[in-house]
Amino acid sequence: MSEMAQTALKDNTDLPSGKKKNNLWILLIAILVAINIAVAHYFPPIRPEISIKAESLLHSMSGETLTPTPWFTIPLIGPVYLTNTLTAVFVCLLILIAVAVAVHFQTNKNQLKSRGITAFFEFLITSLYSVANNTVEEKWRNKIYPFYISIFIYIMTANLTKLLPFYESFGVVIPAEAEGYAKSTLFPGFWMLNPAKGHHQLISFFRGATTDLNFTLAIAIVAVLMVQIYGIQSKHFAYFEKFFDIKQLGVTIINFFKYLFTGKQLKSMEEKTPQYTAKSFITNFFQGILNLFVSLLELISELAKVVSFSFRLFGNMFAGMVLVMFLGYMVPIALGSFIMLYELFVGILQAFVFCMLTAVFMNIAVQHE
Amino acid sequence: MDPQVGKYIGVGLVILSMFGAGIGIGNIGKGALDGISRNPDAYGNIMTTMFLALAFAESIAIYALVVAFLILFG
Repeated sequence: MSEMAQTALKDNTDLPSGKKKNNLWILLIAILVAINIAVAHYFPPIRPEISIKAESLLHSMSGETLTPTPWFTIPLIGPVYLTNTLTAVFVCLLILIAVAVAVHFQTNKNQLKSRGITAFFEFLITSLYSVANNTVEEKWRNKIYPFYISIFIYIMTANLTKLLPFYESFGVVIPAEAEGYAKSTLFPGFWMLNPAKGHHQLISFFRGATTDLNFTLAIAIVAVLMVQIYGIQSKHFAYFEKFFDIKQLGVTIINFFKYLFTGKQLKSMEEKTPQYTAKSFITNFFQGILNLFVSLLELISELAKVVSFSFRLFGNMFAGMVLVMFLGYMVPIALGSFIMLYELFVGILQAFVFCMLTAVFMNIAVQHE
Repeated sequence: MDPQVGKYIGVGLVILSMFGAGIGIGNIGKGALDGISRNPDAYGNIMTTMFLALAFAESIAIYALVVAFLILFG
């Protein structure tokens, strides 16, 4: 009884302060919207230039035309361009290394509770484990989970760094190929692009790493390659049976010749068709051809996995980038926040889908029938 | 006729494939809701599987979107 009264008293005392807090939030949102309107007024957004290829940051004038220059050249492989997605990958790697170092210094051997960033990653990894524990076989967890978790963390970092403020709005101003925008000086040496027509375009320093097809393709190739390697580790040569299934066809043909010369069937065929007839031979023969065809389709679907993995992630992230850019250009006030919230959801979901599919495919590859 | 017109008509036609993806996503949501209302305890498992299936259905629309972007900006 007294406890209830106490809590009621507590609630009563808490009420006014809670109300104050709400007012503060409304004030904060109003201030942010006001800043938003002011910034959109003084720095009007320009129509974004969308290119599917990542743009090079280094250019050189050769005569009249502007050509991208390679950052450095690797013998036998070719030139490497310093593109804006490459710098984004560097940012992503720096963040991951910083996290790793922080986790290393935060953990002791005889520590029971984790705190800070370690606690966050512990939570993330244990919840990912508990999701995958339903599907992945216990024997293979030690081999499958490192890929599962690291793919998730890498892609999630790459997707979320895309949402950092000013990420795609600072860059190099270069002469435009076709029509561009006028530039005006902000400070000596720093320019700003105006919506007015001119001859300049912007190449941003950073662009979401997953909006480059090379990035997603690289991770997809690694994932699918590891699926094959685990399949071979699990089943050895029997793994290739899945891709080139000539078992039934071969048995049927051998059986046919055996019956032709000796009048007896193979044992495995006898179980299936006790009475050997031309009809049973033909059905088995066509079944075998069908099996071979289906297994060849399996081989193609393995290649299609790479394509679907990479295009799913790339498409989602690129579409998100275009959405953010064009809505930011058309409705520069307040709407962007909601789109960013949606992009946050999509980024985490796509990272989860990628790593979960990797785990599921690996699990299918290592399973014995 | 301006060749640009054909480009834009093509983009519009490509986006038609999202019709199917929409039907698929709707079906997945319906299936998940049916499952959850029959067995509310399985909420977590159903949600995980639903998101995976959603991503599959959505990726079809995303392929179309990539093709549309390739036509528009490529």
